[in-house]
Amino acid sequence: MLSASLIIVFIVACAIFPEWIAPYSPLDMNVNHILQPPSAAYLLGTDQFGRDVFTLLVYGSRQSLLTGIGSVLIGGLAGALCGLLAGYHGRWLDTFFMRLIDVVMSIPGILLALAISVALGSGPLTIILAISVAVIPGYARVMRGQVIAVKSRQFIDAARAIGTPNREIMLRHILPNCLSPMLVMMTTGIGFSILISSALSFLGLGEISEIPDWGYLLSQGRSYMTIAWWIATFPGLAITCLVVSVNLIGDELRNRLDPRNS
Amino acid sequence: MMTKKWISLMTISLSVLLLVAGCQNGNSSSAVNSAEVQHKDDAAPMVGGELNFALSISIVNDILDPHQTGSPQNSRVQRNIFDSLIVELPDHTFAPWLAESWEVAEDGKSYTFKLRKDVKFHDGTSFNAEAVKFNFDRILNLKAPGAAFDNIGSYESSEVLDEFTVEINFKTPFAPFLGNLSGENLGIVSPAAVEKYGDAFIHNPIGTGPFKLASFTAGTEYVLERNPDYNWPPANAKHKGPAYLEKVIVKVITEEATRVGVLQSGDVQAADIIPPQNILSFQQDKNFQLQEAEPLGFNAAIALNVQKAPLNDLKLREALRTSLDLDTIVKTIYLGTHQRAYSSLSPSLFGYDASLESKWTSDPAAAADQLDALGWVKGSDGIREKGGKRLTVEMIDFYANREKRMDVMALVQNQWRQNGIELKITSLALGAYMERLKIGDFDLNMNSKYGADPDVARLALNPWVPNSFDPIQDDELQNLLRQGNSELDVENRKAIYSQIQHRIFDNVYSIPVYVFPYTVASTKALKDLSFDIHGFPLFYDAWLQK
Repeated sequence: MLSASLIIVFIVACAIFPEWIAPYSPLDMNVNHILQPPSAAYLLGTDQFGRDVFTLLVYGSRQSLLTGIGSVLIGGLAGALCGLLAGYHGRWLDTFFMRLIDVVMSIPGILLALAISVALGSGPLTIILAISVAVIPGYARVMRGQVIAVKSRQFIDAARAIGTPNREIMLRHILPNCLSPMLVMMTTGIGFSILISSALSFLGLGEISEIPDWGYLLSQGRSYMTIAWWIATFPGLAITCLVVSVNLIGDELRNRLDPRNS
Repeated sequence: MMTKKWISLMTISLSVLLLVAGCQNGNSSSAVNSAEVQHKDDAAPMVGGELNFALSISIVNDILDPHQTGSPQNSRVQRNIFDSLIVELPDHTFAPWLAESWEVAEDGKSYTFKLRKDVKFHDGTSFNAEAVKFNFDRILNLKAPGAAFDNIGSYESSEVLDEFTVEINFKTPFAPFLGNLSGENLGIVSPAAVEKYGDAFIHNPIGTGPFKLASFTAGTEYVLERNPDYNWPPANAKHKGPAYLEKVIVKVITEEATRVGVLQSGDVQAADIIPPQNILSFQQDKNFQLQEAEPLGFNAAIALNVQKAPLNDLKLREALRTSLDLDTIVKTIYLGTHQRAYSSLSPSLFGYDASLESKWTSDPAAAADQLDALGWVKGSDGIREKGGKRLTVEMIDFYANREKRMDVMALVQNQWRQNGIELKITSLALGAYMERLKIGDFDLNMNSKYGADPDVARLALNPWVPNSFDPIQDDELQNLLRQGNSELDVENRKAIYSQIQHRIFDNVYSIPVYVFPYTVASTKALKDLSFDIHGFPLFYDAWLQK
């Protein structure tokens, strides 16, 4: 748990102050030092353009984190709203939302994100949007179940009996009681989003910017695997470390928030 | 000129070394400047065996009809199923194949071919003058863009003079005809099969070639079987009679690391388009050999949209070019395995003008001065500005780093930025890419085109989407291209293409980047795999040592 927190703190620091941590500029292409193995000068070696892999990882962390957090926030909020409305209102609205979500859920998340990013073109924002759409159903489902469970409890009946408006019941009484599972889900979802965004970049649908994100770096390095293993290996390890750390924290959060544990 | 590191000392016999050295001196008389391994023991070829060949690019729509596709990967398979009337030799002369002899009329508008009499299609029907006429009329009627139709120019009609003599007539003299005729896009298909299969002929290719298509699995595998009756190879083939190999199984493996992996593991005996980082290791590996051929054509080049600001300014385009150090870019990205390109035409192509090789050098400082003089001054973030506009150019692309072109552009981006020029690279899906190409909404894109005649410049420079935008719009250039297309005198024609290359260069319509080497790595057991002048592999003479 401690090491997971440390890793995350470090990656967040990288994302915010890359120029303090990275030894070089990510735009430096030292063509006389291409494909150099890890050494004191190049901690994690250099890539096919002579860029320092460690520097690229440090600068690429921002894009990975932004995608991970951004898509979870958008997807989580949209999903929560759907779930809240569907669960509270019930009847036709519930049927409508849930069938819609069934349809979306029947398409694999990665495929959906792929289709959306192809349709909207490349760019960091489209990737975030594409992943958001792909993760909405999960949040909506969980939220709805939670809302239905809370809705039948006595304090809601009480609130209704004294004439509290629907909107207030939803926001003041139901929502706060449904938040903890959502929070846990969103934390673990960050890892999933980073993985999808890496996969999209890997497939060449991410943005081709001068500072590559981790997934793109991984896919670029893959073809050099036989002669320069470090280009693909370290971005892969970075993705793994970040995802595992985020998931560990998610687990911890769930344990803390679980009412049966307290 | 650049040293070619791909010369592996261990594997090359002396004679081939001399050949390659000849090419390095710019005296590129040979298209296939291959690092081919000459087996010294010269053991008699062995008959039989299956060759598994990993092909790097998917066969577009599984079309195996030479008249309906211009994609090189399709051609690589088609070349072995279909024969041509004549064959082009490395010195750009022609030799008999399905035609025994031919004559060109004084006015250059008609060609008379005397055909071989013993040729049969895979379906048993006979090859004759009727069949040739049928083929040309079919190409004319199909009007398939980007393929055989582009190769027949002003073709008018064919006349059957007797069973084995055919006259082919053109409206105007068409200089590239013989060159095009030797290419597989003008390969001869079976008229009976075309009538039998109709639209399904594209998946039921019937020709006269040394191999026939036995079966295929869409998108992944194409099984070629030896044609046991074959006895009409081109004049430059090493042997007569049927091919040695029993079967050639072409497997599409697009992922380059996988393609290299299956060759190393022995799942296939040969693989094509080897990535530069593996070329070196295959050359050094004593179990493998590496062959190279130069597919003739229009070199991969950064094409500039000179109709749109800011690139409508010639001085700016020149500065863009002089800012670049292409020697370093090509050497870095291709690890010394690719030659740097100087002209739009590939070096072994007829009409290549070697005088362009020293025409410009990289000089970022001079380019910076020129940009300053033009009023493009560096802003606070290092990017130049003029009248409040940033010096930004956008490149559009859909190839997903094919031949490492995006890696090249990444270095271009880096070098340009150091001179205050911003390059944006936009990767699009094919549909969106075509749409923007059509309306001229781009500054740069990257193109190349295969073709064994310099007329390929006409095809490469003209908009390849009908009714679409022409980023150059140079009437003088169009004029020259038309002249080159109809000039029959060899020397005059050479001069015209020299002018064309200079005109493209002087106006910076495009910046040629590299000469693509078609590479095939194979196990040492595979012998005598050869290439035609287009750089397409020929399985006919190939055999496997057991």
